[in-house]
Amino acid sequence: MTPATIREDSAVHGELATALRTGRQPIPIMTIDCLLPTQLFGAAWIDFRANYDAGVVNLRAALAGFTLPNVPTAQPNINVGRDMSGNNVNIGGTQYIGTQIINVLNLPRDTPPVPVLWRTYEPPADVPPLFFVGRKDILNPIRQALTERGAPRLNRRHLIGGAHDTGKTALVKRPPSPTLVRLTTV
Amino acid sequence: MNRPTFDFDVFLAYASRDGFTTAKRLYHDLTAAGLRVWWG
Repeated sequence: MTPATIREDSAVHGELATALRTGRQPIPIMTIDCLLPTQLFGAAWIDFRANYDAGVVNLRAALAGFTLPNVPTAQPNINVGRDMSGNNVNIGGTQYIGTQIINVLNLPRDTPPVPVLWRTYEPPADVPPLFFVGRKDILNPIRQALTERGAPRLNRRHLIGGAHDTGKTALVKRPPSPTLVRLTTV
Repeated sequence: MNRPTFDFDVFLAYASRDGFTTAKRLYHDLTAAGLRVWWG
């Protein structure tokens, strides 16, 4: 995976679709920092960025059918937003009050779809710088929530809520790691 | 009528814009390891 592979005009999308349609198992390898395409949501990927040779070893093991330990995982599902009437949201019958700067909630696997009171939210086209620092008080709890006991938590929906203009979009548009990437914004 | 088959072990999908070098290197390494690799 490279930035060019996720462009809309990339031929990789068609190749990936064909692979999935015909029952092949894609093995994403990350060679340059980028978001994973949505088709690969939930898939484990092999990191080639820091050490190519180690990546090859892991890839050969994966091709041989081994399940690799400590393989990074694709982006969890992250919901970002607020309700239309205030900063309160109701998910699964539980009312969450978004008065804090950022709340990170691990929602149960059987969390129902996004409540209808949420509106579709399109992040602005402008994005923060590729690398930004600070905000460890926010990022660390998120990282901990997503990698509980060091293990990636797949197929979990996470809510990042908070008051208007507190940086929720920036957090998602430029996540601190590929683990925190793709997102359904509401 | 026989259906066409894909007689390779690996299909390398990549973007030539920024993935060609790595894909080429990977093709050679996997081929050297005995895998049948298709890349275009």
